[in-house]
Amino acid sequence: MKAVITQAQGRAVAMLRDDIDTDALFPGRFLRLVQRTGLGAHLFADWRAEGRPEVAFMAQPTPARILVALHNFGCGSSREHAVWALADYGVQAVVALSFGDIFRNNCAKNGMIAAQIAPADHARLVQALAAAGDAPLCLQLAASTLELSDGSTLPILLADGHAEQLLSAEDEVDRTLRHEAALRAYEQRVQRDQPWLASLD
Amino acid sequence: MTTLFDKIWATHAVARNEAGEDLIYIDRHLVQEVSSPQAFASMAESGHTLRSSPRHIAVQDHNVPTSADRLTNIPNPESREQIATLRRNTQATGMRLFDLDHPLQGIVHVIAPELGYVLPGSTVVCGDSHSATLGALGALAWGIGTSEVAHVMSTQGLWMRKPRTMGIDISGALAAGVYSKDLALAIIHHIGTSGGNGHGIEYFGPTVQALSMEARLTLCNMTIEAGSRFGLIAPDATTLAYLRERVQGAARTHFEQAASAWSALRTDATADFDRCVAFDASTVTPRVTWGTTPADSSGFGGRVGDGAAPADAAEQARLEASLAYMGLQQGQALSSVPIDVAFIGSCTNGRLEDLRAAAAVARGGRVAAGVRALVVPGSSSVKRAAEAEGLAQIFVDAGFEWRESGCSMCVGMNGDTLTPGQRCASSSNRNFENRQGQGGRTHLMSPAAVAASALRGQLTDPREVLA
Repeated sequence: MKAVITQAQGRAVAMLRDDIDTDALFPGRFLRLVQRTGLGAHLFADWRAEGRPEVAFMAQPTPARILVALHNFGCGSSREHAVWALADYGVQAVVALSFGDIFRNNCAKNGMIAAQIAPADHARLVQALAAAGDAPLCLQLAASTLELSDGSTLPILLADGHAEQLLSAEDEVDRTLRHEAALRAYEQRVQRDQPWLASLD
Repeated sequence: MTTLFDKIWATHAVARNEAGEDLIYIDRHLVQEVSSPQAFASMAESGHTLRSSPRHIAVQDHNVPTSADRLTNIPNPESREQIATLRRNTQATGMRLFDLDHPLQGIVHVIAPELGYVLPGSTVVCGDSHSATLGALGALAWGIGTSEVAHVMSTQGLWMRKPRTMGIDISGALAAGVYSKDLALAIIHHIGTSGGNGHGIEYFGPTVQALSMEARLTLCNMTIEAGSRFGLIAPDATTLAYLRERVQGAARTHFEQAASAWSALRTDATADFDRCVAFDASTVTPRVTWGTTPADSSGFGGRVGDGAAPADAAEQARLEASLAYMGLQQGQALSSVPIDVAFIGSCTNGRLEDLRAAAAVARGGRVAAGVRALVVPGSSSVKRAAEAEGLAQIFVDAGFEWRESGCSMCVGMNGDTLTPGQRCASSSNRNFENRQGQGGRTHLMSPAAVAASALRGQLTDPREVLA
């Protein structure tokens, strides 16, 4: 069984820069760690050390629950540590114009909502954040909406299959192993039709 | 009528779920020490086991020191522990490991082709975004996160929605002194860092057919820097010649039968791609990045910021922040920018041809005073071959450090790092802030350009030295 994710709720902050890569999210030297817990301590470690304005929000005592970003958030390295660090710090959802494909996939595996939003709605969202500050937002997965503090809602879009993954309680490996017969059938087909691929010995 | 991407996908899709995702069978899985410890741990915690150990190989590459005494001296305790963890995990599961002392050790994306491990028409994954490299052999190869590493180990499958396809049709000959790295940087500049998002990219056309296998590996390697997880090139005579010398076991036994089947692995018509981009390679000159994304590049004769057309205030702000980080002024001539470090290596450009191209520049020259220059072969096999044909001696005579193989300064995990403010001419793949070390400033370019820059002590077009 895994945790069922239905929503994200709380303070939102905007990081208005394209191409925020996973090296920025989780600098490489911390990849030497062999555990996946407690990684929030290293989230944006270099940017925080430099006092960069994009991460000034992290100085506040309560974590942001929703990050609002621009294009290609999470591009670059496949390091899942970037998602583990965001989650450990307290982020529940990232709302962006677009995402790096591997990062977005990693989000779905870890109960993190990676939601795409259309440019016009993104502009409204950024305006609302500027006006209403720390007022909490609420993202509802089943309805595919982001509710602003004035009660209005904006449509959001998840990658195909990601909402289903987040809403499911079933462990993904267990779900896949229900298809054991199909996996075996493939192996037998390869053994018969593509013997060069069958064995590595 | 369909694309090569779709053909390989179709043969590996063994089931489909309600969300429209396919369960893709994974023929080969590559494991390294950084993205795997948590995968082995979660597999053990959940009571699952490695389903098919012959379909996985492991290698130590990201964390390994490149010093000569590395078998007895790994100074960083966390690196030491991570390397020991992969040793324990592979022993416990029966997975084959190319350990630090193995003669075939090297960067995962360099050794996989060398071992004949990646075959046309197969699926290959690795917990590393540069897995797109291996698509050069006509395989669907892509980078995954640690959760999927665990999933592949336990099930030999992955759930995925089929991406759209993009063809990049390349014609025109590359000029002397221009390499596939320059071509890759030019393409990324053209389509942007997210131009390939949601797509699987296939490179084709006369220029691609004329590239050597190693040059193709470089081109596919950089695909992720344009946002696509997949770079693919249809197998041809070059592919077969490369594989014939390297395949092992069943692939060697059945090679002729395989080669015949592989000849059908091609896209039927350009119209089959969801999107197609035509690219003229004859206009490409040696390129260098000046910003902090791989799309921020221009020719060596250009200026900082050349080719950038900020679409909006946010992009303008990003550019300004990048240049502040890089310590450069908008409009500054690139050719006069001094460097502190030169790095030749990585999964992008750490193969034998790369070292030959760099050595052709370095031969008889001398690294400029005050510049630290490193050559880190992509694998132990590359290192031996380069020593045998005299390349290592050329580098050493010119004042370059000749080191052991690994990821080294590309990712800055193993102790080979820049110090704050240092500026590096690098044959690696990412010029992200802090990537090569906190405060380090990276300029991406071809290995020949790195060698030229090392000799002159400033960013230098390799054609100036080769002429």
